[in-house]
Amino acid sequence: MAVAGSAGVPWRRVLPAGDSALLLEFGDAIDEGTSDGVQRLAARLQGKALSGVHGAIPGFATLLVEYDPMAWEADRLVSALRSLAAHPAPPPARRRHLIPVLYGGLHGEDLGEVAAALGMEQAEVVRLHAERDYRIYCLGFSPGFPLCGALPPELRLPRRATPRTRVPAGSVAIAGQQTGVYPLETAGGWHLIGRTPVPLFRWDGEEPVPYRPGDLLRFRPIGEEEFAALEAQARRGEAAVESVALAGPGGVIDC
Amino acid sequence: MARIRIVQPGLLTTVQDRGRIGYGHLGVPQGGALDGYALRWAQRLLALPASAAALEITLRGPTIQVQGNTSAALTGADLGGAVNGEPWPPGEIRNLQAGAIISFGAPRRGLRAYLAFRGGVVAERVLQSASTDLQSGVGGHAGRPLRAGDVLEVGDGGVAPVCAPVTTIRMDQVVRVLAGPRHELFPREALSLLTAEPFQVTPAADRVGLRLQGTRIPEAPGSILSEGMPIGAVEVPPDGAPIVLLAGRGTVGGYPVLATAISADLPVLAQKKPGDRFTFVLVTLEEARAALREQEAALQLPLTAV
Repeated sequence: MAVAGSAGVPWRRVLPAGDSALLLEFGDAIDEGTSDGVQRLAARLQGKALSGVHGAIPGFATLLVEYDPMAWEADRLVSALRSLAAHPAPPPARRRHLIPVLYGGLHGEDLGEVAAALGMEQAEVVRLHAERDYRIYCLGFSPGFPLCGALPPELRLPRRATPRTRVPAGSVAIAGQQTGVYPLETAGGWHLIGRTPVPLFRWDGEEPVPYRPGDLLRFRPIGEEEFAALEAQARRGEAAVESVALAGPGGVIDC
Repeated sequence: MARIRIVQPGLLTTVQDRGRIGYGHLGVPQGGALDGYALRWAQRLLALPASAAALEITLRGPTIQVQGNTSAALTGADLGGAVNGEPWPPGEIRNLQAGAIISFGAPRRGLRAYLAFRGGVVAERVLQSASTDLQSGVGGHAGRPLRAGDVLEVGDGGVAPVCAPVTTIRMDQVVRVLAGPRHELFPREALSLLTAEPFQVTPAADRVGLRLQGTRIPEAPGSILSEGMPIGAVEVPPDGAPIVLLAGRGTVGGYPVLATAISADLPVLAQKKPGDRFTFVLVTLEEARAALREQEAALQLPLTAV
């Protein structure tokens, strides 16, 4: 049964998810306060605060805590999580990442359709998409895929009726109130509006993606020339996302 | 070092270990051997560390030529294994001389067998694991299933012949589940419908999950925000046909999870192939823990000398 969170813990309920995971529910809406709570606990668990807890997977409003069932009983783990939450830790450092994007054309083949469906010019779609910071709520769907929100209401469309079986790596896409980037070539049902030439996911290090849930993404429109230059840099292994540190949760958000 | 050469790869033969653990928050699936029980038996028979990689063989097995002297353990499904034409039942080890041919015939029982070699299989380790992730094309051997002509390095030398004291495959007709995490979102009858009749595994079955056919489960009204998916999750898409997620699953998903298979029965799910039937049974957390302790105890039983 669900265990209601008591006063002093940032989650509302603990939902058992089998015998080796707990789903901590922090809220039921996409909002930054809820997500801050998720990310704070996630960061501590990912920092190996509890041995025998090997996973802390954020959702938009939840945290899935994966544990070794031979090391933990669920009740004892909930108590340990409560103690952890009761001792405040410094909030995880947050960063803003600037993703260069060539919008439209061959690199964002749905931009025309999207603009038509929204009843606006393509340039207006680009302006609205690129003029704000997006919060990364969680990574998933495929390795390193940042699920970001919230898209301005003017840009919201249901996902494509038929998903593509192949979306090129680097595709920048929108669907519903979300936006994101496909770091690797996968299938996908979102609208492709642009592409970044900068590789986002690297398997060859301990830091495969430059961003974490809780960080901010911002898209920077670029032209064909800069795209080609960055693509050449990427081939030499020199292209990287520009990342800057923020002051902390709620620190430097100007959207 | 000894080597093995893939003469013929079989249906789907990949390098797997215990999986990519601790990268779920980056969207990286755990993956690894779907039948952890069978993998651990293979490791135990050869006294391999828990991190050792083996070959996961699916239904129709490969033909492998051994180059150099080595030894190997075979566990899990009985896929008609043989060495130089002599039967090799799962649960046993074989000392292999240079030139020996490992082959497989008609599948007899189960879906996935594990073939481990002395010293482990040398493979590309990515994010601390040699597991082949077929979705992303990384890890294991060039991030892909083995092909004819591939040569892999393994350890060399012989071992004392022993065998497992119990069967290394779990082939139950029931899969035990715990309610939730999202059972409260479903109409009241959903859990009893899930556990009423057997489900059949459809052809849409891979390392990510098993799509099932059977009683239609009523939809949970509304929608949920994407959230972390436990391995073993029984998620219900709007069409009412449940999907059980295996270790290759994407880390977050948007379908509500009605029930979750217990850890001790993930090896049972790993051996279900299209057309197989099984029944979900609802258990308590205490029963789930007891089942896991029982499985761990079996893995500690003394090996049988041959």
